Amino acid sequence: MHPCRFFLRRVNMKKILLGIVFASVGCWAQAQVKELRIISDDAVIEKLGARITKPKTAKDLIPAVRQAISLARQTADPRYLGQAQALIGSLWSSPQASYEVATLQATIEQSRHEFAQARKTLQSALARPSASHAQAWLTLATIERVQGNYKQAETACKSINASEAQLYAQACRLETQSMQGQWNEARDGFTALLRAERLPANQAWLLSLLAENEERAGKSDAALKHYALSLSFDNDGYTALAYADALLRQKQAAAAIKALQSQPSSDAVLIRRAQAYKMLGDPQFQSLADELNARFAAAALRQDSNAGHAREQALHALYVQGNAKAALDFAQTNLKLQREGIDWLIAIQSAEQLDAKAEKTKLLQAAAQTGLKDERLK
Amino acid sequence: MNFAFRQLLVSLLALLFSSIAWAHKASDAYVLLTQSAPQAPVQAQLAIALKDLDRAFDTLDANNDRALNFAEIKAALPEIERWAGQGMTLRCGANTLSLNWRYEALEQRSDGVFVRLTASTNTPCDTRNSMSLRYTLMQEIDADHRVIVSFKWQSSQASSAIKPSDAWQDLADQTKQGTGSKGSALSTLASFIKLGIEHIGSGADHIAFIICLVLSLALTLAREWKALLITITAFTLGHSITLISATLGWVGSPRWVEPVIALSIAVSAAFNLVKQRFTKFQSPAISAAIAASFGLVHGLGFSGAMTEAQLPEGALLWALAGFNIGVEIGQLLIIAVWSIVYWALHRWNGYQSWIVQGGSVALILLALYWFSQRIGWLA
Repeated sequence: MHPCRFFLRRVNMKKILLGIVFASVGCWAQAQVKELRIISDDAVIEKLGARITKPKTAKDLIPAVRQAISLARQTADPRYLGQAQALIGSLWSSPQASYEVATLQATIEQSRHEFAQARKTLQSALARPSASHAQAWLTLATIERVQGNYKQAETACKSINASEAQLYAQACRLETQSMQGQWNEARDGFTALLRAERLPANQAWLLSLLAENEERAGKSDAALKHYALSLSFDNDGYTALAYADALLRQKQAAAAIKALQSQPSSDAVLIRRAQAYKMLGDPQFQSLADELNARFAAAALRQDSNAGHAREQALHALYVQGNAKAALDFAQTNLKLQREGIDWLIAIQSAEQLDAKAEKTKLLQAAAQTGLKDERLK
Repeated sequence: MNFAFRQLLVSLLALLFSSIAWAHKASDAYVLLTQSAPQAPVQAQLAIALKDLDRAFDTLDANNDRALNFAEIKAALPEIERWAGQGMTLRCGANTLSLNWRYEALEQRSDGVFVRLTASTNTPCDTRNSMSLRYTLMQEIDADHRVIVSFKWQSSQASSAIKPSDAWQDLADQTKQGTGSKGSALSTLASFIKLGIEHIGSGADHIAFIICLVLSLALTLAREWKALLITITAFTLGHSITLISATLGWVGSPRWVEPVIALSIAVSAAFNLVKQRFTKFQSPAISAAIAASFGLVHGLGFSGAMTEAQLPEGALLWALAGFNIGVEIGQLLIIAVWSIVYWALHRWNGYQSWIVQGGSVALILLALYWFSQRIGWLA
């Protein structure tokens, strides 16, 4: 039994108030830090992630930063982003930085959800000479879509030199169209691109875009099918999360747990697992909830702006803590930054749970105003 | 496909997915500074993640199997202690105190296993006037690294997140001002008192319930004031228990809380009418029991505001105390306003029938309306 719970049982009723306060302070601290007893010299104490190859010359810098960003994405460990920035070092935000370095800086900023800063960095990157500006335009389009600026996203997609990155330019346009309700056009477009594609990683990616299109179109069965197929080509973390969310919306909790099986235990993954166990009435929910509470408490000590983490905070409040009021607040903060379907959904679900009908109507109107069309937003 | 373009493809794929959800937070180290008595030497603790040490020392994972065992860690400890010593310095007045770190333990945190080092300084230090820290560990390795410094001087306690830099950070100053949500105990207390008052003042249902509790009391009589005191204390006891339990996550805030709060108003208002007719129900003990048991439910309602408020971890006790005091002050303000109303109107002939009985009926209707609204009967 958890020592804190044992303590709670033994509290004398007369002293319950005092007992609660003191036990909590003790257990609170205990939950954060636990001293390890080491039994043997050989016991593995920590598993380490892949090492970044330290650049020896200026030429090695870009591959190293790229490796760090890609590891950050694979492992969902933000340490690699801090490392990527440290590698860029004095070239960060510097007029001396090349187009490539500035674009990578913007990618790091985008990953931290510092979208305004990333947009600025991209604008300065685009002003620098390069044989191709495709990557900067694509990153810019992604940011505009995440923030619900579909016209700007379209402009960015159209600026990509299509001869060089045709697949990406087309997918960029199709995804933007899909978000604005042109689901049939997007479906046809993605299907055509898929037919021509041979690389499994690209097929997986196109299938995930197609699945998202079907979700927006309200065809959840087709979406689930495409997500599953996409994951069979490439077990991508982002797709696995989207698949789990789609399954959870269909109350298929066991399948959602299975979909996340091999994913790194990011906050986002743990929240979905907790949500699924709660749905199943499985006692594993509680240990996951404890772990998530400890993580969010530790993250709060950093005193960063919380906005970048607000989507996960909203999900945590809504599905783990069962606190719709807090969830709605976090969801509103998050909407100032991110305006994808899921972001509106969290806010609307929180409002529904609070029975805040006026708030829900307001949210639906605000979502519609951006031009987003999504059958789930009702 | 040429090389540059293949590289573009690889990184493009990573970029195209819109928002990435991160594992945990970025890299943090934890420093705890304590001083038991004024002028006593300062004790220091530093906890740093093995994942960070691995990035600082290529040699830590000696066999390069990307798994650290205790033997590998032990072998690297002298080097780690030296490294920590050159990367963190304290200054007390004009004295720079270099720290002689010694390994103490390994500890599990939510973000992995950390090595904990301790060091004690020999020089007495007046921490209230000047105490500063220079921390440069991980500076060149991870731009997101922060050190979470907690300081416990005899009279004060605070914590703050510091970015590695060559500059001296004034800790005495941080203790005085507090920073953001991690302020000193007093600023936490003050901000949560404010939150408590605001919360009760902005919740029409809590106000209505308190009015119910005091509505039938004749506040010109001393014994009625005693009854008021008992009832309000009982209510406070009730809501404190559930508020604290919910804030600590021991009990949830189930969906029935809001409708039951509405119902509690109707029941208490109805009880006011019953009391007027049947004197045997006038015992303060019954009112107190009602107040205490509904207090339990209202406490769950209050907890939403606490959970929203991002509890400062080190100062949890202060936050809870502050919020409770705030709720208390709010209650007393409502009662004070009600007393004025009572003083102004109680001589009026129609007071009993219009204010007490009419008021109770109005509160029942209002409460039933809230109840049906919250349970979803009305649009």
